[in-house]
Amino acid sequence: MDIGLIISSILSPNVLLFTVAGILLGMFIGAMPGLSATMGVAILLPLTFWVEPSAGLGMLLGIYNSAIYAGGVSAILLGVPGTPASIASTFDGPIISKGGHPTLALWINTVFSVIGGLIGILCLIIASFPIARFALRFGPPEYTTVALFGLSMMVAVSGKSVAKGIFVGFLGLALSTVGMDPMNGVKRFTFGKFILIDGFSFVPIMIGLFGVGEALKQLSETPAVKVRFVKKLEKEQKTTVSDFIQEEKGAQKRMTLREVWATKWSILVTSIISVFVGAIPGTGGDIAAIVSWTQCKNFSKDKENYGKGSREALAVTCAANNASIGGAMTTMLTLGIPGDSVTAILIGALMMYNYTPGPLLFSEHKDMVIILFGLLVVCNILILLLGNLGSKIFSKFTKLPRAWISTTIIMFSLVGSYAIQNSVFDVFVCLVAGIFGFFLSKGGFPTGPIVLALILGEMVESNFVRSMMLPPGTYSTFFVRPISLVLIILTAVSLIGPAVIKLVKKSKERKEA
Amino acid sequence: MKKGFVVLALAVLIAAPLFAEGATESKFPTKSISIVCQANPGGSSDLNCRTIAPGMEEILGVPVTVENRPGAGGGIGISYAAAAPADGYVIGHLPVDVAQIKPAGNADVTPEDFRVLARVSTHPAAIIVKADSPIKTTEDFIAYAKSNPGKVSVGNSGTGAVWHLAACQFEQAADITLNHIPFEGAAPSITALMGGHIDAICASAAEVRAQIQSGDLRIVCVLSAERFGLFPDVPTAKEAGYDINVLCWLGFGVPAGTPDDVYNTILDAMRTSYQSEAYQNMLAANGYTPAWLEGEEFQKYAMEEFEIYNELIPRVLGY
Repeated sequence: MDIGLIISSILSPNVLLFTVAGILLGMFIGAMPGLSATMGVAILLPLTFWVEPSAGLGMLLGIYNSAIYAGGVSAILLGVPGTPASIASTFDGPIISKGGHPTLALWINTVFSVIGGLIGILCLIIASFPIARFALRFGPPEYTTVALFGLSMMVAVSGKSVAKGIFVGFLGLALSTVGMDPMNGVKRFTFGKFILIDGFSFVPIMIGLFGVGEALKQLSETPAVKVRFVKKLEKEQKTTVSDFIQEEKGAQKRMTLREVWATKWSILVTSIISVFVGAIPGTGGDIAAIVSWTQCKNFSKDKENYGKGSREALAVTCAANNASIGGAMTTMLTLGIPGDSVTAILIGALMMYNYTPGPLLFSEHKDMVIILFGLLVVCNILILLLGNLGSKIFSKFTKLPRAWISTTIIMFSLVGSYAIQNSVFDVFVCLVAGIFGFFLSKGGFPTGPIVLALILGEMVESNFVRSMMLPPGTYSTFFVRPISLVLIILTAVSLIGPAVIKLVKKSKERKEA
Repeated sequence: MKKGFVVLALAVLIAAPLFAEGATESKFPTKSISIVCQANPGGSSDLNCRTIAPGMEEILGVPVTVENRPGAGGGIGISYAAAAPADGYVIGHLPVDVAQIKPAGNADVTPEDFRVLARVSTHPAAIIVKADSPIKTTEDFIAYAKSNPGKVSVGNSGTGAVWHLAACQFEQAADITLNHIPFEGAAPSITALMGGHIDAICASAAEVRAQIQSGDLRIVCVLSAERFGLFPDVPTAKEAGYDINVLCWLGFGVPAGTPDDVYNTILDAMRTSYQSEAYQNMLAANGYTPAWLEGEEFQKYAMEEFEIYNELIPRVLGY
């Protein structure tokens, strides 16, 4: 098939219609805490029985790409990550939007998601085979050290008190040990309850801490009288009572070209890191964003502001989770191994159409591969167009009274945590996590480290044990393997680095004095 | 006048469903049926449920939806389905796990808690190595394991999962000791094998077909009694003289005590859906062997499997 025909088949009305439908659906799924891209793609998989390949895959890829993007919308506006992949966007996003720049923050999410997505696709197109082969070099020791590197972010997201951050971080690690031990199958802290065998799933806890907890905090800070006389006040003041997020008058709505250009190195490094993280099976957008954020905090010029509402930091996290899609697609297409849970389902979709992923796909069904690349590009362009339109609608919600928003968040959080596994237990987990999170933030404890520990805790544990089970079976395995050694050094830098910089500064000041 | 009309209209609206209910009361089904899948959306179990459902919906004339209730190695969903009222409105998806859950201590449920409908497909366990591995035959593998006792690292998809238990059964049959390395699912174990971090994996022969076709991996032997349709050239371990037969099977069942007429209506619908082109295509695309076995025969088969695992699992897991 020649290129012209392929392009016209991608841009045919039928395919575009399904792709746009996928993107709109993905935006909804992504923005709703509890509904994940995996769920959306899985439920629509049977579509592939009836629809032609390019339309069916267009819809599935549309959901995938736009759900990851839209997870950032709720992370920014509500402080609740819509999907786990936008966990890291909650560290800077809400600060920017609460600081009076919600439109700007949404613009950053849209534009940098697309930039990251496109860089990811570019890597996929030009280097999918080498990237996938590199991903294979990740053995248990490398998984252990990359997870450790991610855990070192705990310090960075602790805010004012590192001690408090580490305390809740270790609490999260303790929570991650509940359930069946991943290596020997021993049931830990299950108290004979079957429901605890798999431990706590981290999404209800995440939604609870970020959603319910934050909403309760907002409500507790809303003076009751204001809520009661919403209408009266509105009439009198001619404004809404929402002080949850207020767009500053004449606030910057988008970054200037110069500002965007200034982030080029951070974004480029982030996107490339994320492509590799995405390519490594078992790690997806959440870990890509966490690792990129930590990495950029170590080296960026703007590192002082990371975690305090840095625009660059938000841009980094938005670019990272979308760039990881390109990476996940490399291992999926070239090796037939899913890079994350969504690509696992996409493999199923390709199989349904009788395209077996693997090197043969590239030689025997070249046209299909090009169509896939084309669809990914189209998805990103559509996200840019529809996302900017959507931002205008999304930011309207922030004008609603705070009490409405908070109660709605609580409702959606509870519904969302039920939806994940159709489990009432998860609703209670979410509720308890929410109340717990409320008291934590009242006491000045950050909640980020808990979720970080829940995502990475089991990964460190099982891979550490696995590394020890394989020859040579000693700690040296972490230091003799080059990738693992580099990751250990990076972890050390991000742990000790800030302290060393402080010491150097102090001694300089002393000399000057 | 207007008010009277509204009241009348409302009365009709409210009463209509009552009449409808009365008219069809005796005939099953009158409301939507749900298939409880014991795993997350996206896996082979979920795909199996979602592919059989549309065909059944067409015949039964009511929506047939899939409800995912994952957790505890399938224990949550399967015990939920077993505890549902025996009226046919809840169908349980029953993979081989139903025979393993109780011995593994993941839930208190066995195939006896169900009136099983049918087994639909199977796929065998296999010993898989990298394509460039010096291990070519079953004998090679066993000789290598015997000269390096406890050192040959064999990955699996998780402790207590069917593929881990398959490797344990092979270990016993061949009188060797392996170094079992559990992973979080099949895909990470396949990756670790391709990256050369482990010596072999024990996994579903269907799951690695992409890597076999691309020439990255090679199946040493399948652990089922008969050869695997997708790769008919690959010998079985039995051919080398080791008595072993491990299959992952997928099936369905309704709670024990479901009345005959309801049971037969569902079974007939399922049989027709199973024979449909869409369903058979799904099996072929994924490399699953069609293996229809219905009613009493499947019940007997499931209980035999239960007996095997009830003896094996406590011994392997040490409790």
